[in-house]
Amino acid sequence: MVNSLVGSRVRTSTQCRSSRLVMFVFAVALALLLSACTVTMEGAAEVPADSASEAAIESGGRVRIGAPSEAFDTFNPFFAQGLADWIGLWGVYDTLAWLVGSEVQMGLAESVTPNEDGSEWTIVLQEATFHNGSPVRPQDVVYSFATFADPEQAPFFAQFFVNIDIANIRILDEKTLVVPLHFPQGDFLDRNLATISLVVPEGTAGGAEAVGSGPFKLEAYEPGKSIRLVRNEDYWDGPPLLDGIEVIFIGDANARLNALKGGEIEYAAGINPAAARAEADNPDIQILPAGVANSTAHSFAANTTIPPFDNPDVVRALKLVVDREALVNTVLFGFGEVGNDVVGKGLAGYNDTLPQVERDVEEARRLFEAAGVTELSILTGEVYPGMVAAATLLAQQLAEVGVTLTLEEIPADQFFSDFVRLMTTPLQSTIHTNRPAAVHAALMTGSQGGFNITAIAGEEYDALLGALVAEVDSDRRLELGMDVQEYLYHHDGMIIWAFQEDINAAAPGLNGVIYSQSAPRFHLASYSE
Amino acid sequence: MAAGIAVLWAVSLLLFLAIYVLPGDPASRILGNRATPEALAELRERLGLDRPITEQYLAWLAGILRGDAGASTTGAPVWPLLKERGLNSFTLAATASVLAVAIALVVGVAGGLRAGGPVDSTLSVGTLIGVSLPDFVLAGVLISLFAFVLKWLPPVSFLTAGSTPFDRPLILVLPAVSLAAPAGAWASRYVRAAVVDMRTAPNVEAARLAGLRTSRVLTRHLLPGVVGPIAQVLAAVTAFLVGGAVVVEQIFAYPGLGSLLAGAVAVKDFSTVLAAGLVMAATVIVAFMAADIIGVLTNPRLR
Repeated sequence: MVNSLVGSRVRTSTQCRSSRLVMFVFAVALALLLSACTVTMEGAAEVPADSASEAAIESGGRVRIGAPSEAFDTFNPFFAQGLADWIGLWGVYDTLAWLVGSEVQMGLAESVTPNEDGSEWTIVLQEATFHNGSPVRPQDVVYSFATFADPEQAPFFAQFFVNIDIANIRILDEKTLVVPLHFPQGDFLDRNLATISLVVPEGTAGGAEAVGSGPFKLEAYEPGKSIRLVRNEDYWDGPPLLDGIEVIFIGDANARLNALKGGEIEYAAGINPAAARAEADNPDIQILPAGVANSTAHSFAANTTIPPFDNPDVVRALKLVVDREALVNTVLFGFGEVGNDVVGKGLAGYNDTLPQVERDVEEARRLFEAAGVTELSILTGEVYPGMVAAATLLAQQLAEVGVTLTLEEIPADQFFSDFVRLMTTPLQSTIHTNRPAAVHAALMTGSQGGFNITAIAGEEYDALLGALVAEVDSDRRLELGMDVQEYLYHHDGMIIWAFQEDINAAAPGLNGVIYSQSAPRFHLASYSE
Repeated sequence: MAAGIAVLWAVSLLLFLAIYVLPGDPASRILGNRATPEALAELRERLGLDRPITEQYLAWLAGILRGDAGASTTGAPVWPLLKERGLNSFTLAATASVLAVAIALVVGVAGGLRAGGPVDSTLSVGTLIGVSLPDFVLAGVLISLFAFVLKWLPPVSFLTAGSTPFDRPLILVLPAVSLAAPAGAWASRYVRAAVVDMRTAPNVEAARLAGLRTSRVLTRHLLPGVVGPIAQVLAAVTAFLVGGAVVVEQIFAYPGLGSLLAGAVAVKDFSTVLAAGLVMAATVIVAFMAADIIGVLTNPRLR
């Protein structure tokens, strides 16, 4: 898909088409987008290319991007939180590998190869230089790994470097290093490196004088105002088409849309679904639903170890009573797709052979009655737009089968603050970024899952998941991923009722924007007024 | 002056207490869904949030007195950003104040001089609408009309790196009008009342009977008499503008103190909320003190 749109600029020769491809949206980006932005973006999608205008454009153009930010972001790649900063950082810095949808693209790394059991990974770097002319060396990679692994310096990302045995990394030559892991991991490239592997010059940490090796150079940075980047003419993979981009901090989604409509910017990162609906026929802007691959999974999470959900029939009844179509149309204004209780729709490795869960009011009523369930409560909060509305609609749907649902609404900023409460709540609204199913399972489920709020685990499941994580062979990992999803589909209490698409908007002449991990990337974009 | 400082201190105490009782804390915000009890405790200790409230308050106050407003949740110092945002807000507020004063004087004097007449009645209805209209509604109407229909003005007022409002003064127009219209309408009602009172004052009556031209009566005898009361009203207008800035700056994406404060509250950035809140409170206090001084200087009985 990417290649057909952006032509030879994408390096097909270096793509690693692993079957289990990993994406991740780091916790802070999620938190930011939950609180400050109406949409999240993950995976890949593109501004549809206009073939006529694309043919006419060889280079040039400057694009202004409106994006939400944190007032005190400092353009520090180890600590950045705001989407605006990340759009800028992805331009200034290179990553060893990166994700385009479900595909891992190699970046600064020419190759990343595991040993037989996935306990050591050999990274060979491209011939590349930083913007100050100095070469990108293995030492810079080691420094970047070590800084990202430090919870003090990189509190949001350290968890993704915890498995790297940094003290024992070996530098073989000026382009090659061997990275040992504390325990074997077959998806190290997909889950870790393609997720977050920015390389900064040794001893630096971004800031207003940030120097990277990316397609754009930092020209000016001012918190609360904008990040101005100019084309890096010496980029190792060829300079980008655009002369430059400027990321302007606009916190309010309506203000971003107004700025686009008024011609003040060419790209609005994140607009409201209702506004998108209202502007659908406006010829002066492109509304860009990012597709299900770039979406947020909405769910009702039932803890399978707490009554009444320790009874599988009650979980089954809840799944059957949810009217997913109605939720999508009402809560998401139609900008979404119905879910089928496993994460990863639209991404590689998704098990689409599982039959869609359909609403069955009579069967739900029978199961609830048999279990003696007449009252339930749900913990909810407006962490993400629509969560409370969804719980309210669920209450109406449950009422149809004689079950009274009480909403326990708490402030959004407190929703994730009490970990113990999250782990001991029988039923709660929640969301997940839509990531490949295998990655989601490894991160969120099983005995070692960091945020296993449905408490799905047990000897059988842990063994299944353990085999998946350790598997180096990509085809075998794909098969194991399917099995894991099937297990979750039948046994987990996670009712994923929809995938809400991210919605962005752009001026008509903008083409070739690629999404990766919540941030649009502009190094392959072109713009013509 | 002493009273002003005392009020400012009281405000600082109230601000601190208000923030203290807000649900959630910066540690929860920073850690998000990784907020295990252990991690929260460790971060709270690092941020000093585990100390008694009196100790936290005194440490913060001591810092403020030294000119150190502390650091944000990302570790960046608060003052530099606060200064720049403050200047931006001052520019917007000054523009809005000029507009508000102009609206208040023109509408108030015109209505007061023709009290009870059709002009007065029309202006009264207009000002009532102006006062009643929420600033965000007015902003929306202005954006639709002047940015999208007429295409005269930009719908947003952001600044880019290295630029100031003076580089592109047109961006100030819509937010300033959004702020000034309700404030000016509100103030005009007080100006009108003061003008009605002054119309029957002995010196104004005498000047009129002496055959002076209306403009001279107005500028020499009537307006000086209403300056004192109007100054008080304008001080209140300042408070109006400071409060309205929080909403209007958000709507127009204008990087001022109001939008900074709103963002800081959303992420529980205590140091920023306290410092920005204190600066805004100080602005209002200074405005009222200035109004008191003007009132004394323009009223011989108080001099």
